[in-house]
Amino acid sequence: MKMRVLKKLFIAVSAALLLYFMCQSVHGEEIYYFSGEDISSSAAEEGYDSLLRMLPDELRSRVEEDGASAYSFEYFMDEILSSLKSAAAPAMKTLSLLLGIIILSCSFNIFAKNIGSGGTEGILSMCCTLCATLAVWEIQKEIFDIVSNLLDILNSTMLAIVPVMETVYITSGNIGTAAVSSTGINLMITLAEGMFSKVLAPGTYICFFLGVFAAVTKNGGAAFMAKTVKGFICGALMASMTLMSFVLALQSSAAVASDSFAQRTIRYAIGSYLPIVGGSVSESFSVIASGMGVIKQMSGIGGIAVLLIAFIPPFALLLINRLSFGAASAAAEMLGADREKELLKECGGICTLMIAVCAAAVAMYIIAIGIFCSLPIAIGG
Amino acid sequence: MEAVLKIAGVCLTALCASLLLKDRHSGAAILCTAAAVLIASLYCIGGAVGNTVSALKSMYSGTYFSEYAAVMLKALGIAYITSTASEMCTLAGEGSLARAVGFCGRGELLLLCLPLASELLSIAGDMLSGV
Repeated sequence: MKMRVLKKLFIAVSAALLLYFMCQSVHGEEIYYFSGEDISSSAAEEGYDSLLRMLPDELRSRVEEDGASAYSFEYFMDEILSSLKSAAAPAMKTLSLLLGIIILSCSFNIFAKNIGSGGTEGILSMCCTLCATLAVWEIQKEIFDIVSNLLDILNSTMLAIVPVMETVYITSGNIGTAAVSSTGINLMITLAEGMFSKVLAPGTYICFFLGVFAAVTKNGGAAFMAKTVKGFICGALMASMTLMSFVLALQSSAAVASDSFAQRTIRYAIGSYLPIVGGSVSESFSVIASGMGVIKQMSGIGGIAVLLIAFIPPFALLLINRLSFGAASAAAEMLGADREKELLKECGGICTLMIAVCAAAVAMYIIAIGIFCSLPIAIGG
Repeated sequence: MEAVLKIAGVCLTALCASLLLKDRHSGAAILCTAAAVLIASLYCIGGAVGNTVSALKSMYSGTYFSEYAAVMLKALGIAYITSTASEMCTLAGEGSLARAVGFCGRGELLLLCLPLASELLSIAGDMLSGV
């Protein structure tokens, strides 16, 4: 008796809920419109153009408007060479400034040794090291700004790519994949922003100050601590990025499988139950699929190219600055300025850490776009 | 070259005068040496050292280091003045005066270092507040 009442209650509640859901209109954050007419030969170009329109202003001017086909091997080689050329002048300025600081510090230390009085010599030497540290900090801050700007551009670029990816997926019937990809990439962007503000920035500051401490007090333990902190930051960031990419790939594959299964069922149902018209509708899915595939490849390759274009100039600048710090550190060692050598060595290490983090962020985003390009679309079977 | 010859000439003359005066009037000998040191130092500051400082200033003007190079030069100047004065006092047999001058110079150098140290600490403070 009780079971019967429960069954009736269940049916009544289900009917009410069904009625309620059918009366509701669906509201999403963004509404995507699609019509079969959009799938033409020019649609891929339009997809790429829409991507360009959403890019940050400073990046849009540097990106080719001819489409993904313009990005040849020669194009990237030219881009690398021109970036290195334009980075050479500021890096030479930095190097000359660092060398000037070292030479002046060395001369002052020689004078300080000639003064004779132990106490005065110590204080004068410390004063020189503090001056050198503050001047080096200004250079380091500039490098830090370059990294911050690069990560901002990369995040903005990914934020521009996400809607294009979502549109392609939703239009292709990959509803689950669209949700997984956009959530995954948004998480990646959050991770990249968080890792800069919460991990890289404090970690870099800690390393710099440990380097300063090691230079001023000639304490080898502080240098070791700085090395440990750098290793920990690098390891933690790499691990989280690798994990993020792996989870995105895994979840996207699972989502694609379920989307394809749903689409195949629909196609089979249409093809089986509507013998003549159904067959042509089912065939039209393949036409749409090929069109969407072209848009996907175009947007994906374009996105990777845009990321690389955004990455190359700051990377070249960071690399040359790293070389400058290395050269200055070697010069300090040759001139016998031990304190300055320790400081510059630490700054070089920080530069390497920043380069590694930027490269990892770009690699993570490229993998995300690569996953987008490689996943089959559901209506294609 | 000319400047070095002039300074060497002044110093050698003062040396001769000091040696001659040492036995008869040791106080005058010390004063003579002090006068020679003062003349040589002022000549250096007006000539070679002054030119070097202005060259360094022009070299670092417009860079991050200009402000700090000035501090370093000031520190070196203080150290040299302190050291010279202290040596003069020691030469005259006034050890306590020499120590007082040395102490004063070290204090002045420390005062010069303090803004740098506080700047470094304020950078650290800004970083900590930003985290």
